[in-house]
Amino acid sequence: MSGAATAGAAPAGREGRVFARAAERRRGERKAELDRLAAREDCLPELQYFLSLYAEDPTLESIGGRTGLRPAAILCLQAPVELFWAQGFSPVKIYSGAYASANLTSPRLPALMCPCVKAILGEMELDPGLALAPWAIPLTCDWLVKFGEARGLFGGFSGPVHLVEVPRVKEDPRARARWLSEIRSLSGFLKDAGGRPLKRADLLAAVRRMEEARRALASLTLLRREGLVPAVWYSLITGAFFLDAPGRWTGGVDGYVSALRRSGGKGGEGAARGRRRADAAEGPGRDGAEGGRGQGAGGDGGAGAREGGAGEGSGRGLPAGMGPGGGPGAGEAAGGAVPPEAPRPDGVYLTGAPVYFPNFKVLHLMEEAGLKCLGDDLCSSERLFPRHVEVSDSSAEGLLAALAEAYHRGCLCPVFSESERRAALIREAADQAPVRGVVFHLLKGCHPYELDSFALEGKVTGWGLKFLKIETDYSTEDTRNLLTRLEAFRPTLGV
Amino acid sequence: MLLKGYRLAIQHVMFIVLMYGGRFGVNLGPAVPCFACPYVTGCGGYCYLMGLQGYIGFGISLGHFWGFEGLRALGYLLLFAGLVMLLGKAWCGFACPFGLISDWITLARRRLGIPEAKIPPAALRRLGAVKYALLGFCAAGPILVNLGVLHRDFYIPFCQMLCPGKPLLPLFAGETRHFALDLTNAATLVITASSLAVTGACLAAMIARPRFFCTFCPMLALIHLLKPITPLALRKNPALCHGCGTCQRVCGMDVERVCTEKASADVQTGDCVNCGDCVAGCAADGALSLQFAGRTVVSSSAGLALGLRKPRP
Repeated sequence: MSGAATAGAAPAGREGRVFARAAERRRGERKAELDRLAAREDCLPELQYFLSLYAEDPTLESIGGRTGLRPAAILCLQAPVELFWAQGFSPVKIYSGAYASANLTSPRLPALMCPCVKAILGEMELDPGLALAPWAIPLTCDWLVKFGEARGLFGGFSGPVHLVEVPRVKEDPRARARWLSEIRSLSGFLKDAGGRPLKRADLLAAVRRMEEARRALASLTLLRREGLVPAVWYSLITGAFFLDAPGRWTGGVDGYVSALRRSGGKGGEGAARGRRRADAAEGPGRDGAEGGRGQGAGGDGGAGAREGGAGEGSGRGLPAGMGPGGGPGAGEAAGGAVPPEAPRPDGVYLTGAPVYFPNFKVLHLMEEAGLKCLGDDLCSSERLFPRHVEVSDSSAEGLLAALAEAYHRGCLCPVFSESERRAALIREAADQAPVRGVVFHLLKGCHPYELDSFALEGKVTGWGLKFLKIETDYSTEDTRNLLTRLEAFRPTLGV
Repeated sequence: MLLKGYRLAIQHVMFIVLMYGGRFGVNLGPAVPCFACPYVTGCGGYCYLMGLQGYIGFGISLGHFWGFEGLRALGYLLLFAGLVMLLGKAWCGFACPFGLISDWITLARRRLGIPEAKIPPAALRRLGAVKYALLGFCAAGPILVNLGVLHRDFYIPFCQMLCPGKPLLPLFAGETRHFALDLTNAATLVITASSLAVTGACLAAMIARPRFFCTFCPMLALIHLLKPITPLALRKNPALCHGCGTCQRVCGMDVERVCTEKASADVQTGDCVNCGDCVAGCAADGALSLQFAGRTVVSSSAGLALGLRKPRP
């Protein structure tokens, strides 16, 4: 959910003109990104469902209409979504990657403030309807702790707000007990905000619904490890989770997974490679795509990609027989010469701060630099929700405890007192896929991630992986610089 | 779910073998490393704790400890050790009939949505030491009988007084007599009253907590003492652990160390019954595994934990 058009009275005068310009630019950013994605050779028909969810510029009202439940805004994934469903709410994570939104609030906020938070505040400015909904704000990082005060600079909230205090010491049983009481308190807030009282059957049904979503995402992740799911599609899909009913989203993911298996990855990474080749051959095409994203008119780069994708996507897109259950698939039929066991020397793992639509800058640049993202630990992507909630005690209290634990103890966000176990995800991905390097995506102003990067670098280089830290924000000014660094990183992987 | 299904199936097969095996010619003798109860008519083997008490008591009283009886005791000890080497604590997790009864009660409780009682980990660790005291009682009880400190009717004191399997397991052979008070003399009255009190308390606790009695089971303590010669072990790769705590939450014994261990691969604690629930529930690929002599029997994975289905064609 990245805000929307109009749900309240627009300001007048000069301020009104600033708002109108920001809203126009924001629309342009979204459209440019959607056009760029739709123009990709690997845009299978099954992805249209996800693109359509973004295309209509969703509001809380439209999401509530689709899900049939009253929408409630959440700011961080630390709030168990199952609880919201069980109590009759549709949880909508408010996020935005729009530079125009961040830019709108920047003048009244610290320069080195998290661009995600700036952009969310900007979305709330552009869509006054957002402030009317019930809000649950887990106080995960310092920026979220101060979010209420920051929002106060722009008019505050009109609906009920609940702050969920997140204990930072996960290993301490007392902290876990405190967190469980916070979850109970959140449940009480939802009831007071007009929701249903928490019932065991509803919570169990919500947990099971979520398990279906997890299974679907895990299937997609397995294909991603095989290099069949480009990072932009993966991020687009995970970002769409809160835009529709979970059942439809799960069906959409299943459909895409099936399509990928049927096609054996045809047009998957092959298209991306083709796109790179096209970009290399037709420099203006790439420039058009980059510039267009910022200015709302990027379609040329995508067109270049179409040509290149067709050329290489059929030949090298998928090594013959690589597709799970694919047998002699499209790659083989087209004379794919890469044997199944061939290593993918340019496989990388993306870690660090989240990447939100429409700002897929880093993902596009990685592709353009020839880096294949085989996994990530972004909370906007593979860490969208806890990997698994094992229900061993199906009483209401047991379910709450299981959810609380999965969303707290299982969370690998760097805001906790120790986050050394975050490296486990990289290690696991490196065991599953030929990952040669790690790209650390740091958003300016995110200090926990920055601190984390030093320890992580030591670990991953100790495992023989290459490490690159890139620091950026939502602007497009550093695009060239980042691309150069990513391109320079590629040969260090042994390519 | 798949792993749990396999385990439940194996538990039921072992239940039939150990409870009714004698009726179709199977008898593993008094060296079985789980609660295969000799009070069950037609059982397929006897719990080694009974043998241990019996051989210590009778061996000393008959004065044959260094003779034929002694050799027989040694033979059964070696057989017991061999069986432990074969399956280790999997006897508890996969074969113990009393463990299965406990699991039935837990399944019913979960089905009814009755919440599980929680015991703080520190208190649980302290309670876990009781099993070693009970093991000591198994060894010391018969000696005290022979020394005349205890009445001769206390000849296998743990089985008679403290084991909840004695009244419960014979129920499955249609025998209810162990639910009666024996008024023959004061000793028998104490023995039967104690047995019924322990069994009642244990049953109530088993409703509240899974595998409650295992925390105090002297057989678990005895098998754990043989850990150095046991090839089956729960292992962890700490580098792959996310620290989500699922292993602890799904563990019937509430073992904490499997989650908190950050350096060692050895997470086979004294309370672990090798049921594999932690491996089945863990969604971190390769973080936990059950290994036999260094070879992985089963390993954790997201696919296993989530029961990954094939996408619709």
